[in-house]
Amino acid sequence: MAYSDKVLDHYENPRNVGTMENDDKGVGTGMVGAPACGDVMRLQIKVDENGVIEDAKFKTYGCGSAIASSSLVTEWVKGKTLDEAGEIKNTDIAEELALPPVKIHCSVLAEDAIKAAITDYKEKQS
Amino acid sequence: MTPDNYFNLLALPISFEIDKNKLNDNYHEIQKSIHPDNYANSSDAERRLSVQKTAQVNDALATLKDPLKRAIYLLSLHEIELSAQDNKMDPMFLMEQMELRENLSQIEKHDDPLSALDEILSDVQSKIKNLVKNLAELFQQILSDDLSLDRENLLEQVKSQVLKMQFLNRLQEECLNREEDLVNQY
Repeated sequence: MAYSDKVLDHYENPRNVGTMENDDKGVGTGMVGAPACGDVMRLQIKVDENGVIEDAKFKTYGCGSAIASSSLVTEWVKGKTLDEAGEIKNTDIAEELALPPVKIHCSVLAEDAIKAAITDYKEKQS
Repeated sequence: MTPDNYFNLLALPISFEIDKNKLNDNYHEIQKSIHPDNYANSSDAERRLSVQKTAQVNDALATLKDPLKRAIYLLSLHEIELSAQDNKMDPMFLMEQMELRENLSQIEKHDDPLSALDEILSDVQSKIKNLVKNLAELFQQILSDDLSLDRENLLEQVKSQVLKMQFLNRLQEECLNREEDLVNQY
């Protein structure tokens, strides 16, 4: 299948691959998976005292579109508040990466991952 | 349950546990009797029917011989369909999947990558075996005559086992691909 240039770019040079210390109270971890294709995605955010995401990391085992979707999201969320980051829609991701219909679920996975990371961070604060 | 479901088609009882020999024997017997060659001198309609039936029986075999496909099929007979939106997985399970994937991606750093890979593969396969065992037990209850059982709950449990199995099957495939790469490399 032909990937778009943007997907290939993220696939070949993924941004922000890595792990953060999950025990850190300022870190939120989102863990999601897509049974249909067996993809697993971990997306982590580090939030400063003003509620702004100062760093983001991801690790994805899956197809090029899943890797690109999560890589893109880590770029997008840096510098955003939690509320702003929570507004990222899978359709924005799919549009930016020009994902074909059969790969839309990869962008859904990335949206679910950032939402899960935000939820995890909020739970840690309470 | 529809009269022409795959189990009926291959003259097998509706069950998750399957007698593989019987499945193969029945398949060959039925395939022989409905083979389009037998209908060379029949009407168009009959020939068409025979081709259709042959395709159906092939589908039935492919579905019933694979435990994951069989479980998904049995769920569909209970009007439960899986969708791409079923992403709500147990985080502990996903963590474990992540770890296995990480180990697999670092396999070349081991002194003996093949035996390290074998270890992961046998771990994955034993997990799959466990899921198959769970599925057999769950379906045995679901398909039993005991009316006191909460079938809705049991079917939900089946679904969660099936979702896990999809990940593990994929991982197993990945392991086998890596194994092939390694064998070709050394």
